[in-house]
Amino acid sequence: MPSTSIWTNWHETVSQPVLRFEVLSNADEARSTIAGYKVTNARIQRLIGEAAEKGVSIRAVGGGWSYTRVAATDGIMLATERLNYRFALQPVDLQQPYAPGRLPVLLQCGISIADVNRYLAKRNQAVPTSGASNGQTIAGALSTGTHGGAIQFGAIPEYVVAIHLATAPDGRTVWLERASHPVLRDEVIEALGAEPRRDDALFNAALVSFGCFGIILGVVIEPAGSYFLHGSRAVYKLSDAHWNAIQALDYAAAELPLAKGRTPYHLELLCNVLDNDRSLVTALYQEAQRPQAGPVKADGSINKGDAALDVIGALAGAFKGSAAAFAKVLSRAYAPYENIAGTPPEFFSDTSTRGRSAATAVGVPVGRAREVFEIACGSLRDHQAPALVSMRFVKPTKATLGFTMHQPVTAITELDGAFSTSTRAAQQTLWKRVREAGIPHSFHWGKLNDLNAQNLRLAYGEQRVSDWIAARRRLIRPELRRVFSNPFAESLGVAD
Amino acid sequence: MLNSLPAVITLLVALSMATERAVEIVKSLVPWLDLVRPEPVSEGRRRAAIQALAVGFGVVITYLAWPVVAQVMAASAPKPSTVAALGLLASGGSAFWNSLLGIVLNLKVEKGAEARAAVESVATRSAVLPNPAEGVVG
Repeated sequence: MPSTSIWTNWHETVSQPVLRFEVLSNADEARSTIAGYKVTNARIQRLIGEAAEKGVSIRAVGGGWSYTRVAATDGIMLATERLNYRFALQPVDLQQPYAPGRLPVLLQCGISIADVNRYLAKRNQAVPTSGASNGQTIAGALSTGTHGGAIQFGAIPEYVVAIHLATAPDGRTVWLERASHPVLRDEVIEALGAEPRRDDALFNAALVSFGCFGIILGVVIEPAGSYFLHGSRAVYKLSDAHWNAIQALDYAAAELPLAKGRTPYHLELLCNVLDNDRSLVTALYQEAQRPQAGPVKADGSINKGDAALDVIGALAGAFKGSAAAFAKVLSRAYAPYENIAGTPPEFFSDTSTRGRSAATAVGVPVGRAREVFEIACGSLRDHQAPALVSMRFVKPTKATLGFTMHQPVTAITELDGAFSTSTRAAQQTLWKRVREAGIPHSFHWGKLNDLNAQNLRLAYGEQRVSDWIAARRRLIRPELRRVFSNPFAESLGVAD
Repeated sequence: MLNSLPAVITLLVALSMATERAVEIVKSLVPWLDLVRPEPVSEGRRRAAIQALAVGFGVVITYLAWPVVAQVMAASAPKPSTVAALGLLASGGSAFWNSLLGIVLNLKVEKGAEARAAVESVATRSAVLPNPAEGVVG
């Protein structure tokens, strides 16, 4: 069948001819209503039916944030970013008691993390963690296991406690929760047009399922009470003692800025290899009240909380020449700061930076953090790539194929840069060397990787992959599995 | 694929021309290689020798030009198999690669026009998104 549209992702690494690109919207965009939510869900089910009839696959795409073809299909693509209803849940709706400040909320699939932050702020709540940039939708960020640097918490799947899915063109939709952690009362679930299924294995598999478990209609998240982040970014000469302390989770011995004996809430290391290995550490501490400190916003267009990629994206267009010169500019843009404080969205704001860029993230157990960080720096140096190496740390996920799965803490090495042959070569070298070194590893689903059927099983293990496939088979009828698949899933050998 | 093909073929044209030039230099220094033989067996040997020479020069020139080759082929270190394959392709002669380049460029122009006529470019992230008021479930 001929394509009618070509879809391009946000970072301009994927260009996908698509049979039909459907921009979804709610009938009433001014108020969040359950009636409107159900009408939209019924429309999505009809589109699933259309995909099944035509023998093509269907995928939802949110912010288009992923660098990989994870959201792409040549069948029907659903743009969900206008589906941003938000619903307060009351104690009467819930199966278990919650503190008033921690009451969960139901979010429609297309709401962006930035919008979630704004909404929760009005409720004196906050997301426990988010990515460094917040353009992703909640469903997209969940489905790819997006993470921040919340060393004491984990990644986005850790605060999702219910998932509402359309798994078929007919019948009721599916409401997934953990049996060990039921959230909504059955009558409420039925009022949403869904059928409750409480199953830990199924839920954990569906958390990070990149569209293969049906179309996510909405999710329930458990927010944190509002909090502030307070900290510094400082030049940091990474010594043996520092690495030993970080790998042993002994942060007091890591000589982090503003530590005062505390464990940081957010920890990030960064190395600008081509600028004489200039290294920085960002340590942010959680505070209940706004501390006496400077504001988050920096002069100029680059914010303090931005990840390495955003900074590079802002500069990549202007500096296509010498990588070394680029590195110097990058060091000036990515400068230290001291004693600043703000809310999480003030640090990790929505970004409008756009440009062709290349990013990869490799998760490993924290005990191998130094080894992988040095491999990444060596790969970048060997290829003289206009890029940065950074590392963040998060607690392990419960998601079956969540890439932040490593115990006791996952260290995530990122090699992000302007899209160039040398950046791509450096990333490929990193993957190869990590594999050759026999280091347990995993790849971010939404960032560049070389996963295929063999590498997937090498990274995640046969057991996790089999459990995930078995869960999918329990949820999706055989004739619809191809509908909720795409070439990316097929290349991994998980489509049937 | 169609986007990168012209660059790859252009590279092969350049390698082929360099190979031909090197073979011509050797032929001018070795009369046995330059003179066409009336006897079929002897002429066959001469042609085989020129072909072998072209392959050898193709491989050597590909290796020497590796920094440029690596950029076009998105490769890193030169692998013997890749160098040998490119050397063999380069020995095929620039006329062949030139004609192929013409065909591919024409095809690309036609495909581009066809695509522009048939498809609409789409991307997510609208400029303005709705901001609905909070609802309640119960």
